[in-house]
Parts: sequence; structure tokens; C-alpha cells
Amino acid sequence: MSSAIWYLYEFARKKWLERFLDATTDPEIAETPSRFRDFPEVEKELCISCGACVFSCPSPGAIKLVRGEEEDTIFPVIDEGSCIRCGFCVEVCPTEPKTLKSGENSLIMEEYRILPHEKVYIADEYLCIRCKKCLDACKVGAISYQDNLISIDQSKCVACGDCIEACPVKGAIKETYIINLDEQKQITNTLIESLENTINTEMEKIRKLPDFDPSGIVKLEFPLKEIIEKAHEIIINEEMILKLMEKVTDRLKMNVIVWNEELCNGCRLCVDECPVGALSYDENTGKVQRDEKTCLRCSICHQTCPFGVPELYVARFLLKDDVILITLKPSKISIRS
Amino acid sequence: MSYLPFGPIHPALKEPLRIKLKTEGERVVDAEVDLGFIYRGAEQIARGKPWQKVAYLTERICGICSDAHPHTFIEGLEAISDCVPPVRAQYSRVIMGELNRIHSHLIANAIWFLAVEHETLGIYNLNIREKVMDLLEMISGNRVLYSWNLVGGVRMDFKESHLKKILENLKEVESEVYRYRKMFKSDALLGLRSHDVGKMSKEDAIDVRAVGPVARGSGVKFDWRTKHPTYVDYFDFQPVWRDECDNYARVMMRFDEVLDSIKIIRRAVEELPDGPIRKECEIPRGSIDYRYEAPRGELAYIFETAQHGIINDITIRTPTIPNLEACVKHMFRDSPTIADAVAIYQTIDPCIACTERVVIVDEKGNENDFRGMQNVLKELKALKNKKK
Repeated sequence: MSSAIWYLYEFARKKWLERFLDATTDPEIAETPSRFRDFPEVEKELCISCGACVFSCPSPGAIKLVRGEEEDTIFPVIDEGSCIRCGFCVEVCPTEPKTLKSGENSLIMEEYRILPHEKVYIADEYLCIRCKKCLDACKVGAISYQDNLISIDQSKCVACGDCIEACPVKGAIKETYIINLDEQKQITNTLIESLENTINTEMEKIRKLPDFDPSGIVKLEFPLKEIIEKAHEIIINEEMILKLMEKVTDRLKMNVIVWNEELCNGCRLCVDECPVGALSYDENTGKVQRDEKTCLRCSICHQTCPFGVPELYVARFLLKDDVILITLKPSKISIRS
Repeated sequence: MSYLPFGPIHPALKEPLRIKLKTEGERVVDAEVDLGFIYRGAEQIARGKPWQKVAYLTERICGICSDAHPHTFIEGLEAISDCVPPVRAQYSRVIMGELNRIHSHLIANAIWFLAVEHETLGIYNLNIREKVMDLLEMISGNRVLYSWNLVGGVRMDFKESHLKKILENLKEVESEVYRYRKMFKSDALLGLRSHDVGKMSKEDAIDVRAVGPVARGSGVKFDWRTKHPTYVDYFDFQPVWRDECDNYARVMMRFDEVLDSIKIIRRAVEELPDGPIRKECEIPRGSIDYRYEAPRGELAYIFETAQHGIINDITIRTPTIPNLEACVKHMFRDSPTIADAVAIYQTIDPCIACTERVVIVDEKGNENDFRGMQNVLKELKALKNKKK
């Protein structure tokens, strides 16, 4: 009973009845609010094809850079099926006025760098020849020339890589991946270890050949395929692995010690000389043994040994297509007499 | 004694889960819960991504707490980098968070009224919630996904007209909520469905670690906002709580919290300081366990970052996990009818899609391994030991 009375009381109110008398559609409902983020609109003429929108997009495949019919026109195209309308691409777009527009996000000019980035570009002042080609190549004005030095402003850089393409000197602008640093270290270590292992095993074979010349140059080849497969277990990104291989082998100079155990007479001169204690005398065999993991390749044992047990080679590398070319040269460090 | 399956597809359930009710006649004696129908794997997607992308992902974990999730994640990142955002940004976050809380509580109550077949109040609640949704849309640009927070501040600033509209709409919401509260309090039929139904004592609530309005309805005076730096520094926040321990307390809790939130927003709008809304922050390597009071209760983000803000590992604990256990373990006991069991289930404001978190079950080893949570906690312990 009480609820029936309540209903009568509720529906007999003047305010409730007035709703029906002046019932009109609120015009504000039909209008889109000024901040509404729709799918971004693209103005093709303004695009500088830096790719910041593609790097920033949290939804895979929602935005792509496409080459237009006219020459040298590249612009972003948005796939409305996978776009989540977050408006992040609009926020990070570096052009002024912005190429992409969506709600009031296009009014946000980036004061602080919030673009997620994987790479960092740094100019090397010793290799740089000051040709200033990168100044013209950079589309966002991140590179500046002051006091005879080229410097890259990290807060403006969008990591497009155009400066490296324009640079005539190899290595004057360095590209470094800043993500997965631990994994990068692992890959570098496995590459160097496997290079050293192959050199050791190949040298043992070559040494036994009748026409072996101890003072001549030895050339070896190391196929990349196996090491790339190993690296794939650590990181999936193939471009990153290849860049890393190139970076490691470029200008790398490695001391290689080949230990001829047969020549050892057990004089133990080298054991005390070794700075890290990598050499130890084995009483059963009467010979000195070397621990490869602690060895520094400092060549002191090579200089000390009167019988020529440790042979020191200097190895240099070159990455060519899918092999690493290795050149081994006997070291010129003289043996102490 | 017989078992009555309830779900995974059922008109009273908004999201799929199965509850097995053990019944004696119409009386519910015991219950079992079965999850796993709507797992999405947000943690796996987040792993190895930069924070900018993960912030958008966390927003999409829950459609109703879509401010609370990125809010917690971003404040966790700020705590890692020892970066305090400008005061205006902190106030803006409070306003957005409380508006989010109001609309979440209103929809929770609306669904409860619909579950007990009081459709008038249900639709009234949904109707007044629309005013709050309009405010959220006006401030952030979108109705549901706001993209509002970012490390070091917020994306967009309030305009004068926005502040005026907020006060105007909230006045209307307040007067209506007072009326609905009175209607709920005095209605005899609603009283029958709510008083002394779904009882959970304070000891039980603490025992199952219930959180949010469910715990505060049982007399646990705890709210994570009392430990939040902004609320401590600028708002004298006191949690609202009730000691009836039943459905009535939990529904009333939500109305009370709505009124409390309106007061907080009014104060924030009046005292809103001038200044910048963003600040630069560098995110170092680190790990954190950060908690925030989402509308439904305690929301925990436990994560680990690598250099440059890349997320290594992340675990998310949503408030429905303990509340669902509280519901199944204590509230269903001695529920007089099956229809009351449905009403009880709705009072905890369940969100199943948020709750479906990761589990890796090792059948051979007979160990249920919650990946992420345990690993990160172990590492946190190891880090603390190292510092010593």
C-alpha cells in the first residue's frame, strides 16, 4: 500500500509533470564537443615523412606511411579498422601547423619529449668532416652547427635515420639502440666467443698442414647464419641484430692466443708473470694450462715464454653479405730474451 | 541438497562467470565460483612496451574505471622517477578521479536496483549519471576512454567555462542523489530486499581482505585516499563508513560516497591553483608496488621498468578479486532465496573482465603459479636486501 502511495506522490510532482510539457531535444546532444577525438584528419601537403606518428601509435597497423603518386610525397594513412582514436599521433606530430588533426589534441605542442624511442643518434666529432649535409637532411631541425661542432638535440629528434643516409662518412653519425641493453650485451658476448672458438679450431687444423707459414697472413670465413639463429633466441628484432653485428665487427681488433701445449716444458716462468692468475701448473701432466675465461689476452705470457707456447695473433674483421671475413696476422710484439 | 548453476550466460549477469550455488530448497548454503571465460592477457601485451603505449592499454582494461587504471599506473611511474607533478595537475587528477567514482557508483547502484526489479530507481540513477558522463566528455574529449593522465601531469587544461559547467551539473546531481537516497531509505519493498540480506561481519571482511565500499560497508574504516599525497596535503579526507554489514549498507555506502566526492570536487574547483599542468620526468630503471583507491576498491599495480620507461614485467590486481571471494565465502551463506543471491552478487559491483588475470597452472608440479606477482615480489625483496 505504502509503495502505491509513494508512486502517486512521486508522479504528481510539478517538476516531474513539467518535463512532458516542455519536452524538446537538447541541441547540445547533437553537437560534438570541441575536444572530441575523432579519427585523425590528414593534410598531405604538410607531411615531412618523419615517421613520428608511426613510432608513437599504440595500436599495431593503425597508421602507415604511404608514397603518393607525385614524386617525393609521403604521407600517413589511417586504417579506421584498427585506429583506437587515442590522439597520440596528433600530439607528437612535429610539423607546424600539424599534419594530423583530431579534437583539441592538435593544440598540444610538445614541450617535453614523450615520443617512445628505440634509437639514439650521436655525432662523432673526430670522424665528422663538417660537410653539413645532415643539417639539410634533418626535417625537424634537431641538428645544429655551433663552434665548429655538429650536435643533435635529443628532445627534437624523431629517430627517422635520414641524417645517416645523407652522411658521406661511415660512422660519423652513430645509431645506437637504447632498448634491451642486457640482451645486446649477451649477443655481443656470444658473437665474440664463437668468433674466438672458430679461430682456435681452424688454426689447429691449418697448423697441421705441410705448407704452413708461421709468419704469413691467414684468412678465414665465418658464416653469419648460425650466430643469427642463436641471437634470434635472445631478441626477435632482426634489423637490430644485423645492426649490432655490423657495429661489433666494424673496427674491432682482437688479440687471439693459440696455446701449443705440446711445446711446453713445464718451466713455470709464465705462471708468476700472469696478472690475473689465468695460468696454472698441472702436476699430473707436467704442463702449464690456461683458463680462457679469466685470460685478458695481454700478451705477457707470449713475451715471457722461451719455447713459443702461446702464439699471439691480431685478428681483424669485415662483415660482407652473410659472412664475416677474418684476417689473422702474427703479432709483432718481440719475445723477451 | 542440490547444485544450481548460475551463469556463465544468464540474464542477471553483465559479464560471464559461473557461480555454483549449493541449495537446500530455496536457501543457499554454499557457493563456488568458476572464472576463465573472458581472459584477455593484458600483462603479456604490456611486457616490453614503452610506458606511453602501456598507459593506453591500461585504460582499456576496464570500461568503467577507465580513469583509475591509468591514474594508478602513471602515479606508480612518477613514484619510480621521484617526480612530483605541478599542483594544478594534481588537482585536475582529483577532479577527474572523483567524477569517475561518481559515475561508477551511480551505475553500480542502478544495476542493483534493476536486479531487485525496482526499475524506476534504476533508470533514474542511469539518467542522472548521464550528467556526469557529459562532464567527463566535455573535459577529456571522449565519453569512456579519457587519455587524460601522463607522466608529469595531465594532457589538457580546464577552461573557465568547464569549471562553471562542472559546478552547475554537480548541483543537479547532488539534489537528485539526496532524493534517491531518501527513496531507497524509506521504500518498504527495497527494505525487504536489503536489510539483513548478505551479511558479512567486520572480522570476515578483514579475513578475506575485502576492499572498497564492500569493506567500508562492513565497518572497516580504510580508504587508500587517506594515504594518497594529494588528498593528505590539500584535502582533509575522511573515509565514509557504515556498520550495518548488509546489502543496505553497501548500496547506501555508494550514495554516501557520491555525495562525499561531490564535496571534494567542489573544494578542488574552488581552490584550483594557477600554473603549468605538465612537467618533464625521466624514468629510470626500477620497480614499485603502487596502490590507489579505484571506485570499486584497492587497485594495485606492481611493475618493473627498464631504462627509458620500458615496462619489463607487470602485474595488475583489481578490486573485484578479493570482493568476489568475500561474496562467495561469506555473503552467500544463509541467503534466504535464490533471487536474493542475485541481489547480493550485484552489491559487490563485480567487474569480471578486469578480474580475469593471469594464471599459469603447472599440472605436473601441482603448483598454481601466479606469474608476475611472485616474480616481482621476489625481486623487490632482493632489491631491499641489496640496499641494506
